[in-house]
Amino acid sequence: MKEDGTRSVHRAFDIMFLIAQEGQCGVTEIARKLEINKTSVSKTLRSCEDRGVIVQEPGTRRYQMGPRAYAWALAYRWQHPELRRAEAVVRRLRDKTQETVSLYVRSGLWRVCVYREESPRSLRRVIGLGSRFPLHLGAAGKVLIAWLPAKEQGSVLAALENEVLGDTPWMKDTLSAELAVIRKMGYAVSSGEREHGVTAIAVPILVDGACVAALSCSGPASRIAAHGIDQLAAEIMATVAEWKETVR
Amino acid sequence: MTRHYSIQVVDRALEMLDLIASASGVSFRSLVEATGLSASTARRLLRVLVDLGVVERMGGEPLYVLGPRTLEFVAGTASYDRVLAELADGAMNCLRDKTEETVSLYVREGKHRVCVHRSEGLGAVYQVVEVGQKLPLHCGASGKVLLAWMPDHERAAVLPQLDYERFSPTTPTGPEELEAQIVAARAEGVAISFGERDPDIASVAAPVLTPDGQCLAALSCSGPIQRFLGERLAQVKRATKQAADEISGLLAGRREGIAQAAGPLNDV
Repeated sequence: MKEDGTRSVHRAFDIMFLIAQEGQCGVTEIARKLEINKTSVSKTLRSCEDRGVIVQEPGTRRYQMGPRAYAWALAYRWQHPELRRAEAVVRRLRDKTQETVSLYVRSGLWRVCVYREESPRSLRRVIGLGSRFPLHLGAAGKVLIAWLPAKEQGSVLAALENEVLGDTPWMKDTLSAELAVIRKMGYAVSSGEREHGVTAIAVPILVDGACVAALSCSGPASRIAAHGIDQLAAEIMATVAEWKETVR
Repeated sequence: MTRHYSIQVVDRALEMLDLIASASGVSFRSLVEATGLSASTARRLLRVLVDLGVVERMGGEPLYVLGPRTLEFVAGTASYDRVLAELADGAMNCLRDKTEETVSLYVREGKHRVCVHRSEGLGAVYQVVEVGQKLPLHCGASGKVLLAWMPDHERAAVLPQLDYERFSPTTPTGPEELEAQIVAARAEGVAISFGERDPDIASVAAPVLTPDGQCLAALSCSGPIQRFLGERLAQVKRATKQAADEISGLLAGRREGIAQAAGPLNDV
């Protein structure tokens, strides 16, 4: 496979992610948004359609995600039993705190939401399944970096420095210092780091000593402050510890 | 009209993703064997999928499984239950049209089952199950399916913990009675309830299974007890099992027989 082959595959996934994000797309719209010529778009769509990953709506002739894409998302869940088990503690904590609780895993220099239970309150943090955020922003991302094995953590920090923190080199030192504190405390807190007015508290979900996900409890800053950040963090850690006893 | 040719390298990447999605972990060697690609092409292609985050390495062996970015394909869908409902919708409507009874999809949540999707029956009298409704696990056909296809050690832990609330004379009264019915359901591939939760309602349910045999949900067909007798009961059982198998097929990426003919019940 040559260089252009790699590019074709990347382009195909760009197209699929765009359709997933927009809900429905036409060929012209895809070509314009991704700056790809229409012939390439049509050919790529054909490949995806053959596999049932996308389908064309007969009436509007627009494309949307198909049954294979749904099956893939479900397959991610059943292929990761350790995350599926952790869903129970997410539900328990959402019920206890009445705030949005979610699970994140690392994907390169990003964190991706793999499960979440929303706060029942009308003013709440809304995060979609599959939402992706920069790894270095927010409590959950920091937990994911903090509990990486040393060697992997080194390469992630180096990559962050190269690709993300280039303009703000001081941030790497700040981040390293912060990670040490987070590991010592057992949890991370972020306030308005990724989104203004939102506070999050995150802890690691450890299975046999390895961090398989970060659990994050987030909500409006004022409401989280009213819980008392230390108390809330203690409650989250206690609930996770309690849950771990049950899944042994 | 322009002629649309697909792109071979994209076909191959999607085929690889499909193979990885159809097992609980695929080795590089079996990927090469299944795709017929050269080892170097397969390696480069796999590398792209890993870089994109749609595939990840697991364990020391190593095995490949799907990565978290596959969830971006369902961005905007509220939950896994909704994703499952979307996937099952076609087969559920088809079963409803065939039987004219209410068709529901249940998942297990601890000691309960929750209805995540429903196709309403066509008759004047049909059973109403609300989406989101939490029901006990110890009674009803779908409860028995969720228990029957659970891993043995989990079932052993759950059975003694259920409350065995009595709703009717046929409600299972304890773990022994329930276990016997579970063995029968496993042997037959479907579970049946005659009025276990509501004395007037009968239900038939079959499991929705992942390619590696995990039970994700129970598909049930339910209605007035007098319509679930004799030859018709046998037909409803076959049709329900067929519809559940069709949804399992969608999970596994089986493409043959996806479009089930929407014929009358006695054609099943």
